Amino acid sequence: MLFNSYEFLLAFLPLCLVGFFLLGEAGWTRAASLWLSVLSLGFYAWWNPDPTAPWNPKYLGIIVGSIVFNYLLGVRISAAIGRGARAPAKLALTCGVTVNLAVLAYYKYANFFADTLNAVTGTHFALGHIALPLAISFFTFTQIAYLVDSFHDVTKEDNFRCYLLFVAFFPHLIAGPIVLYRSLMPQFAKKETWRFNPDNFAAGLSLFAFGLFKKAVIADSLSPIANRAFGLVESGTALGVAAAWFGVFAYALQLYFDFSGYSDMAVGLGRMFNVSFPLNFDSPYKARDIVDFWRRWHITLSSFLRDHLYIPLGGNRLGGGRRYFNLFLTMLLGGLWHGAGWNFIIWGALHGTYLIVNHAWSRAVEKRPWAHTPPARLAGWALTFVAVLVGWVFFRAKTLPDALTLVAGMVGQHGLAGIFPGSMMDRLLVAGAAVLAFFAPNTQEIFRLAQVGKSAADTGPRHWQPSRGWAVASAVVLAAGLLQLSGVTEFLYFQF
Amino acid sequence: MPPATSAKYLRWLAALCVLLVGGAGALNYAMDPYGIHHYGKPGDWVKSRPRICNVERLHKAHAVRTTQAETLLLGNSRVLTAFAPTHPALWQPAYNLALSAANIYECRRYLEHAAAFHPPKLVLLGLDLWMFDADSLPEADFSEERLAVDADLRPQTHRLPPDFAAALFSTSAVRDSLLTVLGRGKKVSYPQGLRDESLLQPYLKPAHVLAENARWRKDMRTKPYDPRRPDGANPQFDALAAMIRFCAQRDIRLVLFIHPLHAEILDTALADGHTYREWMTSLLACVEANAQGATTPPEVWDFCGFNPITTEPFPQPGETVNRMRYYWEISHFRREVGDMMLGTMLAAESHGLGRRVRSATLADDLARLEKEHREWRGHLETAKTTTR
Repeated sequence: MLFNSYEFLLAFLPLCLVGFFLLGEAGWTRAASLWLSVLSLGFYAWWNPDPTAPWNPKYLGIIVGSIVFNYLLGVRISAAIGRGARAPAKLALTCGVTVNLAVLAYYKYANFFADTLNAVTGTHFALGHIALPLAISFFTFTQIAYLVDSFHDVTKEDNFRCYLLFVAFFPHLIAGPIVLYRSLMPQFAKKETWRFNPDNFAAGLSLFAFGLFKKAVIADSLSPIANRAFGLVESGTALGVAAAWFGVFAYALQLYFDFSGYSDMAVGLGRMFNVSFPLNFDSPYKARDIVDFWRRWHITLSSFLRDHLYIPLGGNRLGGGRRYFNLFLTMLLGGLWHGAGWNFIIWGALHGTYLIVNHAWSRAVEKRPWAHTPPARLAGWALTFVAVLVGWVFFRAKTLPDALTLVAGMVGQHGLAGIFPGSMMDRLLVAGAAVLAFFAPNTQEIFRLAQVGKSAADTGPRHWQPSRGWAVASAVVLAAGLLQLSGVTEFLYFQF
Repeated sequence: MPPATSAKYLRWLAALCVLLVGGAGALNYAMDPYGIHHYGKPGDWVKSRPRICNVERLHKAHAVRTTQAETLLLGNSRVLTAFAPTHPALWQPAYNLALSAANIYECRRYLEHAAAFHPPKLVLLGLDLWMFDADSLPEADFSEERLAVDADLRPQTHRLPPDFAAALFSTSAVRDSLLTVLGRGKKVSYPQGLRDESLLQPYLKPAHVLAENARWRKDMRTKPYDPRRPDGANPQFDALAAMIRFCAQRDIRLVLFIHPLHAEILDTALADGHTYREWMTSLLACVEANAQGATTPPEVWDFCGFNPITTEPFPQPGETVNRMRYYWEISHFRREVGDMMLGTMLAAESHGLGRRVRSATLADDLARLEKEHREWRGHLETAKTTTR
């Protein structure tokens, strides 16, 4: 089920909230926890690539099996650490991480590896179509982080009901943010979490409304523009410079508003249940360098890769050369996490290279005063954004030749003019979205003080507060988001 | 503005949101831009709905529910623009259920849908080669969910048609309602499903005709007719067989007719010497194999040929007035031709256009067509030589 669907907004969410708070207010927190977990699994199962048959419990077994396996292993690791037996704990951790990654590799990468092997060796291995279970990348990483935390004795859970809720809690289940057990579950240990709180609900609903607007109104309006540009390239049309940059720019904005909008909805939903999630996006296109970009884009994934890959590889503790290798490898594998294909690996490699160049440049100029002047910062921002755009070409293109054709168009190899994939209205839309992405405060800034347990008082007009003005603004964006969820499909060639 | 309590804030937010969404729904219901709520009913005050032409499949699926049509006209844009449901030879009331770029499967599904509300007595289906393309898929605005029966003719009443949600509560519907308000002066309507000729005004300009002709020629070159899929099947012939059986079982008179393709298009279809012949043979075999037991066997009429109508010349580059009488452009004929065809098929009128075809006489008919084709090409060559 998707947050931006009628079934979620009109049926699932109200049912889930009412049941949770009725049981919670009555003091039946175990029942409320089970209610939330079971409905979350239902939320997970209500997904199918074929929209005519949405109920598809086929993959429920995989997530439930994964939850049971990791819970048992976590208990075992904690018990071993508790009695000082680090070796068995490490063995269990290694086993757990291996099994989790093996399952992920099978569903996500088996066909890719088989195809690559066949292409290199001329063999004909055929695995058939392996459908990717929804959110497997997210729940796998969430649970690997839990096992690692158990090993480091910062997390300990022997209650299956709590563990089930931690993994299955629907706001973060499908697309993150990737949450840590130690930051999420203590919140459910508080009594007030189970009781309806109008302050949190108001802030959460408003944040959800802004996220829905970003996803359904902005991103979904940009999507046809980007699709048209990439579609032209797929059909063999060579785009000129302006058209190529316009198409990639539209895609960059679509991706940002889509993913950050979905993250805002997740954070808002958590807040409606009195739960705080970590930030996931912080105006990444305002980043002044690539390091800054990765502190602002998909923050929970960056943190996961840093804590569970870069630092275990040695981080920056083993000298400059090894540090750069670790960075590159982390980004390469980060690219592969996003999708099974050479384009994603190239995207990861590009960002690994960007980070190496960024770190080397920073070391070289950090003591030069001019490096900290406004023009230098502006140049840094522009260069960063261009580098990110080039990366998105590989991220979005269906094939490597398509990506290279588009990059060739961007550097002018196909001329300046040619087909332009956008009308005047499209250009205005892209310009408007760009202004929001570059200059407007992001939703985290707008909801800056609206954190669980904190007062919304003492804020300026640009920060959210439960006022009539913000009620009007939130109602407008919520209504626009709701009205954007459906539309009549048109037949474009209508004269005949 | 002093901060309110969160409870008050939530009340404001909820009330405003309901007001905005409800207001959008009320506006869309009142304007009914797609003609699915109160189109054509007593008291329908909206005189022109310019957006219907973008959503024909949606509009007609709903409009046909209440028409009680005795005659249904089915086919693609050629039927949509050229066959007036008010023609005296048709059993009344008649409804033009043709859809732009429809393939045979879509025609079949719309016939089954319409018959679920009121079985017609007469069905006319316009055909051409490209409607039978084996790879043809329904257009993007086709939806199985909005039809009254599924492909196995089981009622689909258990599903709420998603059209109503989309047509009431969507920003695209709000936009189209506003465009309907702004376009009220323009006369754009679909009387009994027939496309209003006011939409075809651009075709009165020779330059537009020439541009459209160039596009059609390119389309025919780049997307040639594909008679069968790699597995040998052609779902469009299966759909036609299902339509024939459907009509036979319900005692519906079915008249199939092949469009009078303009000579230049027919020339392309006949160019390889076998594609058109094989298609005609398959068509008649399909009709005769599936019509067994029908009280009134389906009729097949062929209006293809090389005659003064189908060889009508196009405007020349630089001309400012379009003097074409029978065609809009290379691919679509006008209502005058549609009237002649209906008169020929249903009222035994003679316009020197079209003939009934059967398997037994097909070889002779095709031989005559190929002879006409050779003669026409000969004339063309002579004309070119003379011009040089």
